[in-house]
Amino acid sequence: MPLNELEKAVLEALLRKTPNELHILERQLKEIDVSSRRNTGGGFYCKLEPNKIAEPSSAKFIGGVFADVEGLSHPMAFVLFIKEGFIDTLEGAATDENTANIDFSNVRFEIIE
Amino acid sequence: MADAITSSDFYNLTILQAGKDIGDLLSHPGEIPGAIASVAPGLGPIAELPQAVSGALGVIRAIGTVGAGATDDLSNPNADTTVPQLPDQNKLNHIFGNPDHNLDPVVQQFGGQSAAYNAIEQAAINGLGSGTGTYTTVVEVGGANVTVTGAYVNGVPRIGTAFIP
Repeated sequence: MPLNELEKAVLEALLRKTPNELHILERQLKEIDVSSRRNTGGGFYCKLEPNKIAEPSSAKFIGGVFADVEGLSHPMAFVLFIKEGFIDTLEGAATDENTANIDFSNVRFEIIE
Repeated sequence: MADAITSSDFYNLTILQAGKDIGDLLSHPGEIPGAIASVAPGLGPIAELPQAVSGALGVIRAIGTVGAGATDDLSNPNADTTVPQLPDQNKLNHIFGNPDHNLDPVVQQFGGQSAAYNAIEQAAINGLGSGTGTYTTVVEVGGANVTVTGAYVNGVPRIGTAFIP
């Protein structure tokens, strides 16, 4: 599955947080696929399949990106987890709100950095 | 003499270190000698605990008071629901159900997910104080460095997610 608009925007914002790893992670993001998505009610998890021909990263996670998401009163927090050098999972976490009825693939949002 | 929560004040209790999950205890008040406990929809637990039991639970801190005489109207729309309460089960599953978050040692130390969540949130409150907007910070909880990120709600830092990298 391809990335949805929210995932694309969040990943771009997250990569800008790590200038030293930017080129490595950009190469991993080329031709990246989404293998699964799960809305937990407290946010979502998006499991990613990166380009593993690329060089591994030394980062373990990248955070510090938030977004106002339609249907939520407070910003969502986003974290990209990197496992054994490769992009693994994008997490979106709501604050004090239930996300069960939000379709994250068809939602309006605004990135906060 | 009991550590009483009177009918005119609601307190939200946070266990900083506990041998048992307060959610479990409050759902089985019969297991607490001399305790009266109930859960008000939307308002969290209302509890009256004997002092000895409070001590056994660990350090219980009253975070705030809301709504004089609120027991007369448990659906009080003016109640400040942003003061920390027992966390939502979806939130607990989201944070603690992901093994990549590496939080099992914290859950074990505090005796349950609710207690661990409250300990993390209390550590964030202690470390950050009041504010606005969003935050990402690292707090020490039970000897572990936990990365926490979220947003301030009515000036209080609330948890979006937490993990040990």
